[in-house]
Amino acid sequence: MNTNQTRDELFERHLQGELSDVEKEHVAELLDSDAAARQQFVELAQWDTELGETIREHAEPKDILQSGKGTLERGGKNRFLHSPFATLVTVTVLFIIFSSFLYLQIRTGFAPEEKIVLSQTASSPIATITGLKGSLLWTGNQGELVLDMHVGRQLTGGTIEGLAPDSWFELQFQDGSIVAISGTSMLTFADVGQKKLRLKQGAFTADVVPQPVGKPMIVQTPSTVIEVVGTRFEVEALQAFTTVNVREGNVRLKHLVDGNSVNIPADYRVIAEAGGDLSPMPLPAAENYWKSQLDVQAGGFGKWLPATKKRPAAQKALPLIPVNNPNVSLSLLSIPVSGRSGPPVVLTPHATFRVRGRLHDAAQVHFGIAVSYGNGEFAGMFRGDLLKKQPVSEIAEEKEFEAVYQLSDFTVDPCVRKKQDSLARTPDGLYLDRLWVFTDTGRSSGLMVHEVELVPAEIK
Amino acid sequence: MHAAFGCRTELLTYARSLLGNFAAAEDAVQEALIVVMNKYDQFEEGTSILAWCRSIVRLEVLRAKRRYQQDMSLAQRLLDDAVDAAFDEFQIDRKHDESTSRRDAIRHCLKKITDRGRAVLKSRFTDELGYTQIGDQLGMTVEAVRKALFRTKKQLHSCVESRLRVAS
Repeated sequence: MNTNQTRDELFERHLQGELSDVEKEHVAELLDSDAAARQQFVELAQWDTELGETIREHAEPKDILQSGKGTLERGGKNRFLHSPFATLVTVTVLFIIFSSFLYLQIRTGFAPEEKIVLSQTASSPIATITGLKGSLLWTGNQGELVLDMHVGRQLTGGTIEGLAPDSWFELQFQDGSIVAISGTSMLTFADVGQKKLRLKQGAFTADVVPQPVGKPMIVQTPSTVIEVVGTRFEVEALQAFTTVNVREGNVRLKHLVDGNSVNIPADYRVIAEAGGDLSPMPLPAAENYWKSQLDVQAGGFGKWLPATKKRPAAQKALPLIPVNNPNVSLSLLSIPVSGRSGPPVVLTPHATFRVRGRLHDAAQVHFGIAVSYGNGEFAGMFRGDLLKKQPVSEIAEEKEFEAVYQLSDFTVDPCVRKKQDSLARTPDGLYLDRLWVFTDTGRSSGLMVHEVELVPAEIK
Repeated sequence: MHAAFGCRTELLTYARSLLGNFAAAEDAVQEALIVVMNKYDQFEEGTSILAWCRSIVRLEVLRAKRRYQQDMSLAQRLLDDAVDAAFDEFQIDRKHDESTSRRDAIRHCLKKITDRGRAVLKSRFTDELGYTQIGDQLGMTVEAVRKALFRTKKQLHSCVESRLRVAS
């Protein structure tokens, strides 16, 4: 089979929603890198849809595809479908399905259309939501999906997923232990006498009260298992490595790749990665200057693009519709800052952010940051563009732009205003966790960022 | 407004490329065309009606993904973005007459293919079955289904193109 045929088949299967994640990434790369492939894809999709529409239009009642001979009746299976035995089986099966349905309705009030948004579950609540913002999805252990969440809601075990870079969620267990996720993260939690959590990806902080003897809190990431007796710590999990910063007490970390274990005391961190040293290192001193390093995969939200001859490495924005504003389509990216292998970054008054990147056309580039206190606790979110001191970003010949945001112009992100009493009022002196950049042009703006630089006032 | 509704197949193609499902794509386009009717006064004359309608379909597609809890993994987001860019760059708005001729040609050519080819197409497009299910239904191996589908579509495409060439 030649390349075009292979591509055609891949594209055809994509149109039927049959690709695996690996194949999806392959098709995305192909389309991104090859104009001929993009054209081939659009033409094939157009032809396939015209053909499909014609066939579907005529499928019933007078089928354009039915031949005089009755194509489907040639096989043995289809003869079976018309036998008296098949009729008897069909009637029996339908009766059983109908009886089961009726029984379910009488016993539980269950109606099929309500399955997606069940608000009650059979299990007992194990934790209460104490803070949240942004797009979040909770999936309970019974499979129920809940998008409508609010502070005070009690949850059974399940999975909480932050769907956007500005998502944040805080949960308090019955014993007072608090855990929080931020950004695009996924955390599964359960408490059946022992708390068990699985951080599939993203950033997670915890303040854990002393746990029962022999039943430490277990936190699993893709590469580690962490045992917690009672402490305050942060975890960032990526597929390749896990970073654990311990602020108080100590935690025990087991690296799943080689089975090695280590105790991490207060004010120490371990970066667990394949082949890496598992020795705890002191938490590095904070710095005030920071520059993104996008020449290696950054994590966060967006598509990382390695450097080419024509442009440096970049984080490319992806489309996103905010849950609370479904009429808006943003192009958004985020970049994590503190919590990685580098030192924590502290914001100083009058510091400046410089964002350099590319856009298809001139557009307003919006900019936001998430910050935390020194103990790792979430401190708030701020926006650098709401005072509108930042002009529309004009683009140069190479479609490049630079946008500058003064920290003194930052205001509280509207998403966290309701919770403002318990959060910081300014970002000065706080730790920079992550930042996000977006456009709101209603279509793909081609936004990508090559570099973000935080420059303290004394360097300027 | 007529021009907007004339883009239906193009919009369906776009929605299908993002949703991977014919029926869901038809629903999304239907919803989008209602929005198009309500917001038509916001369309700027002189700009591309197809691009404008596509931006509305895009919102409906994202809503549908959320409604059906469709996979929004990173791989899916990357793919959606790449597909979006491809349509921005290469999708063209066919004239009504051209679309009608193509549809007539497809109908004509569908009558010329084999019974087995027709059965495979019906299972694929009307019933939206995968290769394995089609194979089970028609008593074929997965490889035979794959080949039959590819060969039938290719034959149809050649037939349609040559018929359109003759007509013009």
